[in-house]
Amino acid sequence: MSSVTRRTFNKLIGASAGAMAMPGILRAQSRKNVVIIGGGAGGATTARHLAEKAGDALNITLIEDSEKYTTCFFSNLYLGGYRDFSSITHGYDRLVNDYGIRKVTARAEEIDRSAQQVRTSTGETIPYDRLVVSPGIDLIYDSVPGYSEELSEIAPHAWKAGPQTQILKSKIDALKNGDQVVMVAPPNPYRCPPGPYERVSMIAHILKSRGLDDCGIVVLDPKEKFSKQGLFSAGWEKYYPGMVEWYGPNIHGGIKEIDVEAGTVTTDFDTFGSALLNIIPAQRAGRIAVESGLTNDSGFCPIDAESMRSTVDKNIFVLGDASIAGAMPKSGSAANSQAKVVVMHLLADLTDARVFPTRYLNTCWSLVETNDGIKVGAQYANKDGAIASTSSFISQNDESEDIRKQTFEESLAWYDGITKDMFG
Amino acid sequence: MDCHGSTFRYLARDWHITGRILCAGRCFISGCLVVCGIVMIPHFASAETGKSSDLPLGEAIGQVLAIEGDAEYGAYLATECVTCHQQESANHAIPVIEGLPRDYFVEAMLEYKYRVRENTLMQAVMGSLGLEELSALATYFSTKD
Ligand SMILES: Cc1cc2nc3c(=O)[nH]c(=O)nc-3n(C[C@H](O)[C@H](O)[C@H](O)COP(=O)(O)OP(=O)(O)OC[C@H]3O[C@@H](n4cnc5c(N)ncnc54)[C@H](O)[C@@H]3O)c2cc1C
Repeated sequence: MSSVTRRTFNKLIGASAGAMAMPGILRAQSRKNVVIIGGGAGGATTARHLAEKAGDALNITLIEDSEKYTTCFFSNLYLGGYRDFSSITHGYDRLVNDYGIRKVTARAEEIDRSAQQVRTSTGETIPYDRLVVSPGIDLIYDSVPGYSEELSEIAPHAWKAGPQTQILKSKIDALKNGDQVVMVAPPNPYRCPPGPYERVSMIAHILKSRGLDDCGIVVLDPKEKFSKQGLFSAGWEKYYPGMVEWYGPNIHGGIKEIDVEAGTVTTDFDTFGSALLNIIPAQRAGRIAVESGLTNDSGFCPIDAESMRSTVDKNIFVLGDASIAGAMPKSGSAANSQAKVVVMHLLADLTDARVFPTRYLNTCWSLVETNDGIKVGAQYANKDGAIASTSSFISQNDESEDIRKQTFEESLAWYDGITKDMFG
Repeated sequence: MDCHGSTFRYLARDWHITGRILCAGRCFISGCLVVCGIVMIPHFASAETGKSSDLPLGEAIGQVLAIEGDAEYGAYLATECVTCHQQESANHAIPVIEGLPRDYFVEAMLEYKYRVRENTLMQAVMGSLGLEELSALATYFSTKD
């Protein structure tokens, strides 16, 4: 069903004098309500694809706190000077105007699961037949001793894109020769496994291109190993020799304390001073999911591997970073793929649409240096009740420059594609 | 044959050796340069690559084309593809696939599955796609414009 048909339908309703008196009642009675919390990779994709497929059969309401959404994906390329901020920021106008989705710019404050309704920060109560929850992550600030939300103004995490990313960018651009950057990387599970290391590459790229060769970047990692480690390490060695030092826990022995004012991180091994601290704390599902009882002890939401339906409440689907999606990483690509599965099951629940065996896909591209892109990804399916990988791929260290350039170009087309897939 | 500096590929098959003659060429105003070689087609038997993938490529193409594609199933499967393969492509790295003729689509996708066509991402995507699913996808995309 095309958006044009939907618009035409709305116009017809508007033009018909007979229908004028009670279209609200008619619509409320005949159409089921789908409410989506969160207008990011998971929520926006769900909204758009559902509207495209369901046409006028469903009322779709998207509750999103912000007027505009800045993608975390490519926010590292913004830090590296490859993108401007407006190119990674997107509005909801087309979802509203072309797809007939109702966008409520407010926070979802409470989900009343027994009454099947959502209360918003603007005081509205919105009923649902099915609810989709894609609120992304919340940061557990005190997982890094000495860190807090207030201090993120000085030592940005930039793990939720927006003003935080801009703060980090201005601090990177203000660095002087000889300065040191210290990143505290997050523990598993967190959104975008290669993200911290792509960020290191982009900061190194800026330092190198500004001729600040005496600067250094220290990564203090709570993990023994990280995503695409061999590829990133080789890239740092090749393009930024001597600039990046990475320490896992068996070297630094654990992060004891950070002092944001002083710019220091104390570990068992040593105290590291810095001109810029980038602290990426541990993560859990967005607050609304936690407070609605959709999470388990892990802080994330258990789901059915075939449908992304909450195992706690059959009227609710949870997807994206907030969900426990088996072997799938927390990524925009993964959230977008899960949204397609959610849409299929919403349509099957609320209309007479068919259900097919579920497939999921994830691809994460990263940029190491200009025209040197790398990628990792996999296809997934429900295997015995868990989302498991069925085939996978990863860039190789001995690839040609042509392939790396091609990979980077793929990432540009992917970004263009996924943002159209989300926002129309 | 297009002789205006474009690259083309000519495919010929020899089912008995389950290999494939691949010719790559580039044409210039003065004439064309063609290089051919035989590529042995690997036979996959792993679970990753779908059930009938121990067939030679040529037979797999024939089998998929013989299956009547379920366009509704294809429409669901296609939602995965269209994240990257939009109606208009940002650059040449990810081509537009809507409207591709069914037989071309099937052949190209099976070449990824059999790893004769390069791109590790597409090889993995096709590696886990069954023949029935491929037929459904091909039917769906061939009816889009
Ligand atoms: C630096 C960085 C780089 C990344 N790079 C990539 C990449 O290259 N590729 C990739 O695939 N992924 C990447 N990611 C990961 C990707 O951004 C996330 O995995 C993805 O955004 C998850 O989608 P989501 O829908 O779960 O959450 P989000 O996209 O975060 O969306 C959640 C939305 O919900 C809203 N919200 C939350 N709670 C409420 C509430 N109570 N009421 C109303 N609205 C609410 C928020 O405002 C937000 O807009 C990167 C992440 C980072 C940090």
